Amino acid sequence: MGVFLAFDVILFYIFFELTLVPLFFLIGIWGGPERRHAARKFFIYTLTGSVVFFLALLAVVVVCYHHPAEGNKVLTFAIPDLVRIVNVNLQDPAPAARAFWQSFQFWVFLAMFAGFAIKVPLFPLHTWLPLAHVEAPTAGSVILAGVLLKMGTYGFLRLALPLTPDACISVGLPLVGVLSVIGIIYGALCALAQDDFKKLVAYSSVSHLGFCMLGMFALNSAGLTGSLLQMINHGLSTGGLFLLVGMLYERYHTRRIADYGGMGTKLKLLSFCMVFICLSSIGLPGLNGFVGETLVFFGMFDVRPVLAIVGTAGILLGAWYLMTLLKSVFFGPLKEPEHEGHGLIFDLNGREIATLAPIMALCLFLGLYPQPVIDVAKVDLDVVADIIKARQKMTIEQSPLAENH
Amino acid sequence: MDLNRILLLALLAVPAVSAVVVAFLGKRLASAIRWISFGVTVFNLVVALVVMLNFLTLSRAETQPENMVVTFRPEMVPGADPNDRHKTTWKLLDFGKLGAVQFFIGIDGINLWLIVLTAVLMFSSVLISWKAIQERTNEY
Repeated sequence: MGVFLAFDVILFYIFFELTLVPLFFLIGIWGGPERRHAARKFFIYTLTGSVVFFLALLAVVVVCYHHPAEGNKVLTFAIPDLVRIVNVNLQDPAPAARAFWQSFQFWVFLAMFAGFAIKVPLFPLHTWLPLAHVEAPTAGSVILAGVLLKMGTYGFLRLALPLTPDACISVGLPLVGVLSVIGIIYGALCALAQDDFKKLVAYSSVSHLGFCMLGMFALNSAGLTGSLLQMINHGLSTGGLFLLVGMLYERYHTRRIADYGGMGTKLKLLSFCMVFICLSSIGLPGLNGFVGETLVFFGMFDVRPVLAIVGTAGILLGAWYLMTLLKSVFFGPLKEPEHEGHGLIFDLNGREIATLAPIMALCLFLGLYPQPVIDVAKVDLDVVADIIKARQKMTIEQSPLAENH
Repeated sequence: MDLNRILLLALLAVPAVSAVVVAFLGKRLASAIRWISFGVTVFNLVVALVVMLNFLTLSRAETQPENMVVTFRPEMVPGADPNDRHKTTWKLLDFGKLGAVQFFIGIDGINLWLIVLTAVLMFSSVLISWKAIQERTNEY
């Protein structure tokens, strides 16, 4: 929580790193058979990224110290101040200053990209995620999906976009755009091919966060709003899916999709919740996924229509793999895995209903009436959108073409 | 300091303190540990919702001054600067005249929803682990 609350870069970094430790132990001690390998891989990946990103933060602080916006040189670590200083300096029309800030932004962006893209995770850096998810206990997976991955996307939104707007436009948009579309399609195809349902949910996570990043790097108001909604949606629906999958696993102690069949007749409530959450994850209108995805594609379509069109294929694939999962596990003739020695199998109990109820209620609420969330977030998302817009305008004015006129 | 600022601090401090308390409780108190964790997540959920409601009623109509570069304006900042409620005076590491690393936290429209999301998921995570985790409950 501290990460989301922090408005000081050092504080942000401290909280960012602190979350690594408990999750490392969650996976390493309570995880599945390959937990040690998974925990180590998770730790090394995210730590490498964040060290690079920490250097970038320090660079920003030092450079801002030498280029104060007004008056005295003050070493500031506050995010709002840094954003202001950087953007005041970006308006400096002198060619030398411009060249310096352009290349500075480029490197800072790359470093932040390294830190956050691993966390998100974007396509080529995602390999730690399915492993960590599969080995982690259910609660670990829920927190990993719902909170930890959001730190990556939130980092992009809070730091990378406002601190390096030019680099986001020139490098970020094509790079992240293409990588997220690949991630959407690749994640969905991998999910389709899984025979382990926890892995399926993990790969669907890669696919969904692709949508999130796609919207963010549309760099306009619609895209950013969609991206934020998609962060929340993903937390709710993927969190919900992990909970349900965990409940099923607790009952039968197997995760192979092929072992199950016709659970709908045996576990009625669990199946109802599963269908509900799956539909929300697919993006059925009236549930939460729809609103976010629509806004993401509206945003992206204005900037790079091709990316948006290819991305929509991910929705189709999403429906495909989740429906396949539902069909083979919950419908059709009843087929129970071996479960001797685990006692009788009961439907959801009160505790499990209490676990799922708030998530399902929020899914429904966000699907039917997302306006309050959008309104509140708009003020601050517009700050980011305005910074980008100002830079885009400036870049056009300063291009050689404009000078000739 | 008004209520909202205290609530924000509580959101961070209560889980941290409870984690320390739980770590010192003996192994035999597994059920007590579960109930403490459950209580803390419920508390956090309630606090997050109160903060959300207060934030929704907050008037943020104040316009940014003209020809100023826009930047984030967090609300409910603990230790707020009397002249500027979007800044804090609390310092973690003081470098004297150079400046300082600040203990700077706050809420705005972007992170508000992520806070609520985190609180909800924490609540669910504790509940789902009720039975599944039988060994080494303290650390968990």
